[in-house]
Amino acid sequence: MEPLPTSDEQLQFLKQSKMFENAPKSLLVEIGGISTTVSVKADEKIMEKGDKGTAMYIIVDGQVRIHDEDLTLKYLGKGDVFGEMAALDSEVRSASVTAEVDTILFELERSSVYDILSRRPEAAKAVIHLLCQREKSIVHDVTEQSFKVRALERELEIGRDIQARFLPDILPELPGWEIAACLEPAREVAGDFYDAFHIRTINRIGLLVGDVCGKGVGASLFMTLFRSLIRATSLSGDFMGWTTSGAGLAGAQNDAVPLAVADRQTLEDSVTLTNNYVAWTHGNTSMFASVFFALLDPKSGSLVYINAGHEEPVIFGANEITQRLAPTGPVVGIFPNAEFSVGTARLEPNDVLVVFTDGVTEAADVAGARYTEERLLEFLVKTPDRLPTTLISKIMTNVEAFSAGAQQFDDITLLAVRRTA
Amino acid sequence: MTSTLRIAVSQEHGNAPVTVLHLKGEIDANTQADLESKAEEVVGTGTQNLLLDLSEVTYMGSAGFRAIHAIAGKLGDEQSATAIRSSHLKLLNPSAEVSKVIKTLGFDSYLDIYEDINQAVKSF
Repeated sequence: MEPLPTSDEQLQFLKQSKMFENAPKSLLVEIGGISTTVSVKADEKIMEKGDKGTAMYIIVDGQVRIHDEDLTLKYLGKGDVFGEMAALDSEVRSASVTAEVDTILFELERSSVYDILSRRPEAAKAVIHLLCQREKSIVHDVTEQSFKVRALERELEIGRDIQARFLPDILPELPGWEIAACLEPAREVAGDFYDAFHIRTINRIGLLVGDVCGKGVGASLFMTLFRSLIRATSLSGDFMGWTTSGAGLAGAQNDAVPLAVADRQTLEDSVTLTNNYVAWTHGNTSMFASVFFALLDPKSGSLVYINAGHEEPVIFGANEITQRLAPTGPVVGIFPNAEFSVGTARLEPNDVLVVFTDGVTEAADVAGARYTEERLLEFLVKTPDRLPTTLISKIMTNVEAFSAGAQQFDDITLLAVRRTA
Repeated sequence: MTSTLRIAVSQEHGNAPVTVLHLKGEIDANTQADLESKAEEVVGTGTQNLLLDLSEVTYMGSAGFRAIHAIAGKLGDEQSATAIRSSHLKLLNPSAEVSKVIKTLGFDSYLDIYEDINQAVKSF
């Protein structure tokens, strides 16, 4: 590269550049003398983050992109200066710079800059001016970013509040039964969900826990869909004002159907309809949920359930696990016409049913070791408390103690149901 | 806790050409996009049969299964009115832990799983 002769045009340009706008002419002449003109082609990388660099640049014409790999930090154009941090302070390059279009630069070498700085106080003034401008622009950028982040946070807060209302305000209160649940999202919004509601037409308590694949906003949108479909389909008789028991959706007004058949049918219809609706309507998103949905007969303690690809819930008595409720079908939402069979169980007085998501068993400690199902089961059997609220808060405390210091990786959900009499 | 997934590609020939993605690490919410984009890349260059070698996968979360379903869709296993078994995407050698999750989520009913690579390649 040939040094550009100190022409009037060059002086004019330096005078207009942000660094030297207040510098006297004699300084501009000297700066012109140590500048080398460099041409770079569009997409050419001028510097790489982490490299040792000794030159700083003034953009004569064109545009460059300051970036960290794929993340663009800023665009700079005519009269802007870059590369001064590494050039002035012997630091490595703090970001990469690539030409956006064909660009012409003045290159100033550290040694020449230092030479002028040592002789000319006006040059030091120009550098101070540049650094002050830089700081002002950083403050401006940070402020702007903070406002953007705050706006996004506000949106997420709204999302979180609305989503929280997709969980029941109150859980059913029935003589002889205690029900409690909790959901601790890993992020602002969750993909887990739970529900408990009374289906009057068939006198059953619906108990639901689900876990949409992934987490965050995407999972939370589908959480509202799965939860709503299951609730709407299983409560359709109540919503329609039917007063008699019936065989699920199709024959809901046929009161000749016994309750025991009605609850199985309601369960099958609800899960099948939800599965096929999501698979046919949203199958191309590949979003699915593992779902445990049970209908409890509060009179007898008997339970019918579909476990669609969910962690096995556990029923335990005084000192031991009495039953595990293994999957009876695949996850819901991606396999059209999947078959879900119905399992049965029974809660005796003092038995507790605990349904959980893998956020509990896969909670990791700082070293990456997982809480595991074994630890959960051991804890359940050992814990003397049987009151669902207490039990759940003790499990949560135990999981939190285990994973203390580590970031919560997944939503954590627990639902506990106890038969008291 | 940042998970990593390394993907190596090899080409095998059975009754039909089969692309094998050898996966090493964890398939979770952080890494599933890497798997999906690599699969998309090989499908884009003409791959019709894909075998996922899971022998060195230490963890697979639900996000990983979502990726697998999406890849099966890209290979033309669009599931229409009936649930079908994927004929273009198969799994090789999952660990006991990963197998347990496959079974819990019910993916074993939709994907063939092999322990031997030769057998797996011949099956396409």
